[in-house]
Amino acid sequence: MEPLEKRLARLPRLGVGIPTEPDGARTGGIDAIAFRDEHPGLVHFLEYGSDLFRGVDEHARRWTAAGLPTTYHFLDVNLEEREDVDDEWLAGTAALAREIGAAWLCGDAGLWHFGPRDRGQQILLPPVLTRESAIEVAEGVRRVEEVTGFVCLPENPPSHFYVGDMHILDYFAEVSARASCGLLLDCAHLAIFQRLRGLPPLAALDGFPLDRVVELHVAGGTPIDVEGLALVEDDHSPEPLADTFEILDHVLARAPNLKAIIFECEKNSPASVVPVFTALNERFPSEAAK
Amino acid sequence: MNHHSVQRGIVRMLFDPAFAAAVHEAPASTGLAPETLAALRTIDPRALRADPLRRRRTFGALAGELKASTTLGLAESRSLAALEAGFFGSPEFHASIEERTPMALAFGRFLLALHARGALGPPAVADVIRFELMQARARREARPIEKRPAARVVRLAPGCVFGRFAADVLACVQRAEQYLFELSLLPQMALADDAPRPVLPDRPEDLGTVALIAVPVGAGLTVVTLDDELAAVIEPLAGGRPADRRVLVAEAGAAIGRARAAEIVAELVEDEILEGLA
Repeated sequence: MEPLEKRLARLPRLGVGIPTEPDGARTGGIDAIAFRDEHPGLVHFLEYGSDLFRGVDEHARRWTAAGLPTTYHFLDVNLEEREDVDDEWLAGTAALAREIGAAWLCGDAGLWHFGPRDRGQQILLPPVLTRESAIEVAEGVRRVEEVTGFVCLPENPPSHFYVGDMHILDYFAEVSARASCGLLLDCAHLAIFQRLRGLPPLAALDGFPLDRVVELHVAGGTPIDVEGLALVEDDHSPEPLADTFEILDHVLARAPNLKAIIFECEKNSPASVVPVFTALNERFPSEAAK
Repeated sequence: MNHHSVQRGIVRMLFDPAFAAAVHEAPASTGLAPETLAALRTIDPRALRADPLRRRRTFGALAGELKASTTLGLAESRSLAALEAGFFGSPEFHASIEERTPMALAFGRFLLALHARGALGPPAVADVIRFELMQARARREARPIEKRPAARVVRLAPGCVFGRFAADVLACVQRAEQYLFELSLLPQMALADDAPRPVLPDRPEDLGTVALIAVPVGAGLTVVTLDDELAAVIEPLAGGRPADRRVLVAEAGAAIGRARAAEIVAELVEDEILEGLA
């Protein structure tokens, strides 16, 4: 395979984008095209999250038909389980990504379902933070890239708990080193991890390969109390934690290959998310705006 | 540390509070390796309870697929806990997680076991559970096959699942569906003591049986009632057993004539209800 630096250099700079999932726009979520029309210059690409069962929806097709950029975020593969990265999933996912003209694939690395890929068995669990798990995730990413031909960016998942001795940034650094892959760093998910471990927001970022970060995610989170345990719910509310912005600004200044930032806010009212989109575009202008 | 074992343990803890407690209080009862237990014990138990609707959502998905079974099971047991908490605490659930097998099939097996213990009412309920399990299996086993018209060994094609049931099984499923339809008109009436309940048809003494086969059609499934001729050919292949074509024809031919049996086998291979293996 071509050296990582060349593969990342070829990726387009997409700017700031918004995510969606099947039927999201139809059931009260933000319609990306309407939002783009009403708030020009704030949303430059669509990150379409889906799975083999639901495929591409009408909203994504409208966006693609308008000739606008997309990425594909998988919701149905366990990169931590080599048997789950099977031929059927690879072929189906590649087809979906090609259908929307995705610039790359990305998605949380861990478990998206327990057991077989089957109805009712969806879950999102982070990987077990051990070196052996990182090796298996790296194998999965390599297989995805080799078979589909798409760059695949593994993402650090959110959770109410993490198991394993490694720091999650060290874990994904290991994945990237072994797979020779780019990375999607979710700043909101990292903020959650740091709080759970009692660490400052920027802990361990000094050892993280920021030159391999292609995409960042920013999202709102809400502190909750569960029987006295302080947690953060990754609820994609309109206002990210201050920790999330601290991580974002630190990384922005140090990620030379960054191509895209997603604000995960699709379930909120359009008006409520304009301020953060504005702030993100000021920090990371699109290619056209540069 | 085996990270797969840890992940399976996490799932079991998320769905079964008793198992989560046992990880801390009675670790030997879990059957887990010491390293796995040590990893699971690092999880604050409160974090496992942060999503109180997790089990309900997952149970809802199971109930959505084994709809009539769940409806009649709840009607007979009058206990949500017996089915919902019962399933997630059951050996069938835990085995499905450890063996990485479909949870819906485990749920069906759990319901059959519950029925066998006398908790789910009349025999008709067991037939409904087996009927819906047949469909659940068919959905998961369907895959394309290569047509081999001259094959000497045949078996039921993947996704084609046979079952023989009491002759009123479809009527019982329809009664459950009728109840659910009425309930959808006014869901709140489920709270009333005088609300309608699903009523199974009276079962005559000489009821008899019906042979059914679930067959994949496009992205879905159809259930076909088999006449005696088709049943004579298909029933010996129940369970996915391959059979020598000549032996199958001879066996079925004893009931319907060899020529007719051979003709039916050829048609079923052509229609991809049977898969030719060699």
